[in-house]
Amino acid sequence: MNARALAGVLVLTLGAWALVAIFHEPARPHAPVAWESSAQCAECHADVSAEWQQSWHAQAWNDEEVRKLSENFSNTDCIDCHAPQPVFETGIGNRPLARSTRRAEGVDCISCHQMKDGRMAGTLDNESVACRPSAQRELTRPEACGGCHNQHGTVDQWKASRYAQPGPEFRDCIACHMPYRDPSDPTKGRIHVMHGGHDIELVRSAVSLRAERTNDAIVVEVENIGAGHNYPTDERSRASDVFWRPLAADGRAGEWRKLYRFRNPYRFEVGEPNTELPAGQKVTLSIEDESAKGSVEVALFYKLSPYYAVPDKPDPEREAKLVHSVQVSP
Amino acid sequence: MTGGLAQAALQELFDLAPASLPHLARWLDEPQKPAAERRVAVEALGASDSRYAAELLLARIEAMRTRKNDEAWIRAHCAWRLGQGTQDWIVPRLIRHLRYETDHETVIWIARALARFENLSGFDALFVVRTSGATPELRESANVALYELARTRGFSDPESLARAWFAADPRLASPALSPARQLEIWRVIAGFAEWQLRGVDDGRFTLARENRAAAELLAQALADSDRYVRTHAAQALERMGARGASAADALLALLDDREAGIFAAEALGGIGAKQAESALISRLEPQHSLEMRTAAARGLAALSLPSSVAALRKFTTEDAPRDLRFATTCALLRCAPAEASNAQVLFILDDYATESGETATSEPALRAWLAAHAPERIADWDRAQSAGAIARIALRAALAREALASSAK
Repeated sequence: MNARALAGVLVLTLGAWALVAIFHEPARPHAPVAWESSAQCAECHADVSAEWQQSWHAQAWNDEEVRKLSENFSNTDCIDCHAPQPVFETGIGNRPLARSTRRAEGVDCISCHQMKDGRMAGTLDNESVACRPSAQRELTRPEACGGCHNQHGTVDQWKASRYAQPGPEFRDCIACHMPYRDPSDPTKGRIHVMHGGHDIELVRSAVSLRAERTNDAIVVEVENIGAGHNYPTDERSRASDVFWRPLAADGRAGEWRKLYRFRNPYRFEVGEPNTELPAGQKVTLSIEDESAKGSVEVALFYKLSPYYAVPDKPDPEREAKLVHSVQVSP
Repeated sequence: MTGGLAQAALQELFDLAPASLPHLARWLDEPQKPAAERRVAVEALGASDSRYAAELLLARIEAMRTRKNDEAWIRAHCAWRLGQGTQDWIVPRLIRHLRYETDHETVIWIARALARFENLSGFDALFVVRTSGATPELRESANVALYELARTRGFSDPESLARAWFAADPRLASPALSPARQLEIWRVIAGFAEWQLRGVDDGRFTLARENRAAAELLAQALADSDRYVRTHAAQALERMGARGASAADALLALLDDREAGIFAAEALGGIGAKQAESALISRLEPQHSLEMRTAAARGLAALSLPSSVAALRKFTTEDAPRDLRFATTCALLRCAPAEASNAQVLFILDDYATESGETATSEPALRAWLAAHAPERIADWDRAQSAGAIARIALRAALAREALASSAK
């Protein structure tokens, strides 16, 4: 292409751009919408809404366990976090307050995204669509989750961990709990299932279990290798138990025996110690028992509810989820 | 030593050696000391009836929260002795501790100590110990305490006295609060601004069980500059019920507070402020936020005034926002249960029976409707309470559906 042709193309391009600039009407701001239900969000964001429906945030009001513990929310103290006002309204980092509408939606789209002016906090600015998104860095900060989750100390635990330090290991709440749908293309957004303790694979990646025989005992090590907070991190409900059982030569297994429990007891369980395992730390346990002289299986279980049906005779295989298991030979 | 001689000796001890009090308090923490000596220490501290000594006794009771449930007898003894004194400022601290206390004997003595200052909030705990106390002796002790407290206040049985307490019956004494007790209450109110919910929950629990006079302090707190203080003060008043009635004007003034107004609306219903009816009705209108409209309907439901019916009806139609329609229909069932249509009852019943139901709102509405339509089934409804949070919903929903089917015939 010679210089004259190139100049022609350039003139035409500039001309087209000028015409568009002169005659194109900028997008008009959308009229404010009264957000009364997260079902409204699903009209445009069906895929995200479907993800959220699978999340435990969506079950915050409906879950049977919480309804039992709160006496169907007649204990109104529980409403503050289980049906909170939008966190941008109460203020990021502030304690949440109860709302009086759409409680059945639990911790929903509006709880996390709606701002004081009715716009929705997001990752881009666009006033021409119904939710008028506004790019808000605060939306992704741990403090946005902390209003509720730091009531159990989770954000403080993270701040004390190496994952909160700037550098290659830095990982915040959303890095693990809301990963990108497509890591190679962040514009596709983050997964809104917000998986946590209900996802046993995630739990498995948080902790390791090792066991080896020494002279007189079996030494067991449990290490928090992947969680950016304590293992487990919740106060009251979550627990993780180490059990062991002898294995006979014919493969038959003996009864499970409890060795240790990781848990932060609830406020009414006075005097019980907090045995959660902080990020990066390990605990070493010892099995010294005559029946542990032969083959032994050591297992780590995870419980969403801390109690066993028969406390003196727990059945972890039925009442808990298996995290890791190792066998130790004689 | 007993009686007057012991009292004289203790008085001399306090006069000559006031510094002996902390030494005596230390005995309480020394398990190796003979029990008789430690008991004397409790009695000596109690006999001084000073603010300082009462603080030492309270601290020993409250130590349970940071230690294993050890030496419950010391706590019971301290509670008993505090109930003999005149230090009324211990009331909010004892109410809060009662939330955590696990030793039934201590529970009984704390409830008695509270009653000494005309605070009957320990009744709930006494009823529990009477039913499921650790031993027959403790169950009997709780029963004796309940009847004694009822009789000395002119009531034939503890249930009547408990009802009178919750209804703020004027026959019950309502002593003025000492400056020291007011200070304790202000400390709790100041704690409403804390970030951690644990202390806030304790505060709401404590002040909701305080005497009538505490409502005046909570009313002042409604004008605080901190939104959390205003909000939780309103919630504490709502839970006080009729004992919080003196705060009605302050709650009315809070209705237009953008941040705490919705809590004021519900609190006005909770305290039974009939004078708030028109203000709540006006807040059902569309110029108010949906949060406020729904909260106003809840407040009207709690007031249960037949005169609210016409205003409520406007928002029970299908074109009303679902939350508002639900709250106004519940209110309608409570204000005029005989006037509710079967379709309206079914709308509430369907929500009640689902796993996501607004049970705390719908349950009293359905009970009111059942009482009007099938009063013979109310005993069954009330009995279902003991079935637990989940099972009772199925039982009560079945009762309501049965009554609904009968009324449809």
